[in-house]
Amino acid sequence: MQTERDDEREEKSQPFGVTRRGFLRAAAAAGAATSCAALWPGSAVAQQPRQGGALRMAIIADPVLNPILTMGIQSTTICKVLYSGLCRPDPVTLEPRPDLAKSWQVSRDGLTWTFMLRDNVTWHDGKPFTGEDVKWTLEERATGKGAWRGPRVVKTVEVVEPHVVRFHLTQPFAPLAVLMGFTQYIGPKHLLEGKDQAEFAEFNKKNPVGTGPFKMKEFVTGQHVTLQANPDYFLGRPYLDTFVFKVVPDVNVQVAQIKTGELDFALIEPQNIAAVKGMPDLKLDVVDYVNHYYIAFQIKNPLFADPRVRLAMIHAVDRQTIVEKVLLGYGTVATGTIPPALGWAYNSTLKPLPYDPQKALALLAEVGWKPGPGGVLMKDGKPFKFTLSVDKGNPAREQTATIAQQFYKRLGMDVTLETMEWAAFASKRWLARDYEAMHMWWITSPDPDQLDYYGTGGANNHPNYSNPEIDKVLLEAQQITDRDRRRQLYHRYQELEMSDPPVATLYYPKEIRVTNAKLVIPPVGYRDALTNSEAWHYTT
Amino acid sequence: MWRAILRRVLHALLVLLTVSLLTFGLIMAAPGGPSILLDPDLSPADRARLRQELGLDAPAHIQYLKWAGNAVRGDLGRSLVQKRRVAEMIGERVPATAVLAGAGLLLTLLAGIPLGVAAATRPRSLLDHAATIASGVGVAIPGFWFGIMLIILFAVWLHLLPSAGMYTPGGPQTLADLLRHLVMPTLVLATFSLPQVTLFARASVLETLRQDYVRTARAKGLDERRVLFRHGLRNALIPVLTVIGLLVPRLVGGAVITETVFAWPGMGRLSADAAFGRDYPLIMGITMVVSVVVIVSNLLTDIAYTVVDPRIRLE
Repeated sequence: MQTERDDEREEKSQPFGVTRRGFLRAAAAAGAATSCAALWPGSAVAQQPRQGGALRMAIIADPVLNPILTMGIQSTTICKVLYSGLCRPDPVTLEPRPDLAKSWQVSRDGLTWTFMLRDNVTWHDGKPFTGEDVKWTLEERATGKGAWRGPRVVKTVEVVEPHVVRFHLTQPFAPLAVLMGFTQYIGPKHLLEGKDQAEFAEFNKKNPVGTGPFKMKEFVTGQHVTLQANPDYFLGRPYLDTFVFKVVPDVNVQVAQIKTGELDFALIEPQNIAAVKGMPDLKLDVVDYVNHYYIAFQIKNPLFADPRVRLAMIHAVDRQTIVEKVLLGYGTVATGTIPPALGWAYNSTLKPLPYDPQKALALLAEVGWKPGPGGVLMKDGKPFKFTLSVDKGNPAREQTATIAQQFYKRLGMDVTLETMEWAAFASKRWLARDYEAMHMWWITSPDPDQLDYYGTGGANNHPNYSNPEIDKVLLEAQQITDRDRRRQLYHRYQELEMSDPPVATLYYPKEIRVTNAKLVIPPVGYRDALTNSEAWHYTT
Repeated sequence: MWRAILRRVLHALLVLLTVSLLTFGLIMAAPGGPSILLDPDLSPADRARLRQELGLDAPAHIQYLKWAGNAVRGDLGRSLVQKRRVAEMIGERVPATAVLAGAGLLLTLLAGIPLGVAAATRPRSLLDHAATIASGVGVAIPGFWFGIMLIILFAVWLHLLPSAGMYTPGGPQTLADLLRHLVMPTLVLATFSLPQVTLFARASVLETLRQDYVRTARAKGLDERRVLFRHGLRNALIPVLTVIGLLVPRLVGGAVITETVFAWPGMGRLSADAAFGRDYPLIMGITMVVSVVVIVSNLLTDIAYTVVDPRIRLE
């Protein structure tokens, strides 16, 4: 339990102050406001937190527990608990908060960020954490041993003092603190420096050493990874005793296990809700997270080059119906590529473009597409024909694509649906940018910077979208740290999107989780909730 | 005798070579590349460098020769995803696979053969009809669906058995714990093989009991029981041996669906993960191991033939 002195120590070292007690208060407030109460009458309101207990969660395959090499959701999931980053997302607002760094400053020209690190952090093997670890980790990542999440703007990392590091950037970059809290775990230089792949494998599997609230207890391949509480964690011992990640590859079995009590936390799809409704030991938790699901049209293809065509594609589809029928209501029709989960950056004055097939036809007519024989849209003797690609195996995505296809057909378009196994889809369609239309999504860090996705020449700009005015807005917004100015810019970005959409955004689905009724976790997406795993607890 | 053994060894090597070539060819032809290259955060330069580091940009035949050269020396390479030695990863899965495959085989034989024999000796009886129909259903049932149904019944509704996994995580790994976890996956695994053995045994016994020498034995005055066990069964079971020999590799490497549903940490699940992730070294390694199992199992079947039927010689 936290004592007065613990609180004092925490307040001093966290000028942005989120103590555990603060989080609990915020969580209680947020908890009352979420849809929990509406779905589950009489659900638990904030009660006394209990020290102890085990949390069992499912992963679908064995993870790689190396902070540099993480790949796959099962790896990043566990690494969020084993390791720490310089910053972490606030468990309610997602703003960057101190983690290994207790504070940071940005130089006036935006090119230098100085992070003041905590001096009371030890690795799980007892060695002290210093700025050398930060420098080594970032340089390992920059040399490409693992993927660098986000644009490569860090030129050098300088260890000014043992607990002060300075980042020298190639350009001003406002999202740096957010990125440092999003899968940028710091690894132990003293254990991994100079080691080759073979020894990395030993570290990954047998003995990963981090600075997180939980440390490795047991990794039984193919079965489970069990972590135990780190009593020396710098924010205090976590509430839970153990964090168990069980390998359960099939989602139906995960649902069965949450029902039998073999799991305490499970992510489910809308169609699984019926199976868990009404069970008194479980509660349903529905939260927004940072994503946007869309149909992308390849803009290099003359068919989709004109923004009016893309606008027509948005007006053509009744997205509300998709949200109701496919997501069973657990989602929101999208306005643009920035979701409400991004809070300050979301332009709430904008409304989604309405379902209006007549408007769609009018727009298409402006570009020269007129209904020909049989109602098929024709221009210069050619029909409006394309293939819509989607990855195989996810019912929601396949159904969405099928429904969209039907709406396009109603306009008079000739649309062929193509489903492809994920690895083939990812390499042939998505990464090769070789598609006509594609149903995809982005789940991003909690920063609205989208220059990489929709800026001209962006590394992840697979539709090959280019709008010089948007480029200007996004570039300035990426570099300026002033929050109000950024908000203005992102609001402008969303307005511009309404007339020249980079993609036909569909919806923002909600994250649905079923948990033990006594479990209290941050009311944010689980990717961000896990970064605050020391605060997860059971009530008495 | 030595010539026979030498011939078998050469034959086995030829099989392994062909399988490895075919598998490698299929891997190269399959669309999509290794999953580690599909990370959207990798810059094109990174992706190219990673490809080069892993030797994936070399022409296919060079990659194959490199793999084969290492494989004959016992080095099956490292998994692209986990970076661990393939041999080690497969080795870890062997106990779980052996337990499940062994249990499945045991159930199949202990239940299938007697059932088939009983059905054959009581033709057109209630038992015969029940066995035949049940076998038909068993082969037709999708294992995935059946597995989930069993979980719902025994774990969710009745709380009698754990729903998945091999042991209770963090608990003592006792035999009792293992057996409780083994019940449902074994049933699902046996759903396909048991009916095959039953029907095959039944057909074979029926055929044998029609033979002239059986008629002679009966004419000599032997009771039915002795006719069956002393004279008929040994011959009837020869074809059944074939079926069993073909089942073993399937149980070892092909229990993907059962292992996925029941989160059983066996080779089947590993091979599925490897396939989805296009983890070439792991795919090749597992295929080789399963091929060796097939070859050994065929050899054992052939040896068993010679034991059961003195007319057959190992050649």
